Amino acid sequence: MIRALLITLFFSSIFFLPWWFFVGFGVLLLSYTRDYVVVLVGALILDTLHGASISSLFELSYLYTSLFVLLIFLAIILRKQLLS
Amino acid sequence: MRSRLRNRNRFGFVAFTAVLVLLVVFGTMFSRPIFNIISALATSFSVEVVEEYTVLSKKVLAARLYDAERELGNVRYQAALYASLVEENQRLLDELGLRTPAESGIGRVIQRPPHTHYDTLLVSLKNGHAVSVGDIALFEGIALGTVEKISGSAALVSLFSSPGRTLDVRVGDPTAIVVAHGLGGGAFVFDVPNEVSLEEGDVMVSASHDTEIIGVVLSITTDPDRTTKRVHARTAASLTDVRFVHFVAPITISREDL
Repeated sequence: MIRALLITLFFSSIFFLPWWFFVGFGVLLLSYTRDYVVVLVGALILDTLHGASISSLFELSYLYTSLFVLLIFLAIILRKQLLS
Repeated sequence: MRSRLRNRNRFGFVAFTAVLVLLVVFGTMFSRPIFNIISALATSFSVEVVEEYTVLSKKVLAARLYDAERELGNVRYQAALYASLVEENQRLLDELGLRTPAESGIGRVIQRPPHTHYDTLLVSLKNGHAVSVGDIALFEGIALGTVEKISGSAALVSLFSSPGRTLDVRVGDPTAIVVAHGLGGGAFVFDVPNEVSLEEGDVMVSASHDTEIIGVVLSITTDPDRTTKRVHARTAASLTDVRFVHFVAPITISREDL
């Protein structure tokens, strides 16, 4: 139930809410439900919709996808470390 | 007893979170009416100021009128000069066969900063629009940015203030052409020589088109050890007020035209 609600809020935030809601729901999804693919798909949608090359970030236009890829790696590594 | 206390605590936490979320989501909606009420109260309690002109002598008033009429004459003369310059400029453009900035379309802004970190506007266009990549987006004579990509009836406008983006602008007196660097969120920074006089609130215009306003000077920092002063500016229009934008194709001058 909570998972479905989080996913709905996450995808709604792409279109209706500022970025901090999107990132917040993304982090919640990563930490509580481990829906890595869902988060990546959401980030890709956001970047496709709004992404423009940022000169100060090496013309990067996939900022949120890069951020969530890093967070996913971090989450996997931390989880393994903590469980071991 | 303990469970009741715990339930009460939980209820308090949920209520606090709900109020916080409501404030964040609807804060901007409530801020304007509250501001209106406060400003109305402030104006109703303000003390009436005595008109300056009622306490001046006839002689002073006559002198002021004379100065004002002379100033008006100067302004009229400058306006006539400006009109003749505009006419001459248009004639030259026509003779060279250059394209004047014709409006290529109009669009409704769907999303604007700070929706994302990208300094972009997402614009909905009419079907059969003539907008193309590179067109300039204007809002009430203020140039906001250029079209980055178009898909169907949606256009993505990258603002001039995007982080790291540079733009040639004209500012100050005598006019200086400087390179403004975008900082994101509608902010710019640039350096101008100390000889150029500049004040807060001065307008910076596009180096290529006099009529396109880019931004307004916010603050000027002078360092005695440097020959330039650092200027911070922002977009002349508040991005939250931008509902519709016009698109114009930029004027391009090729070597053959010249």
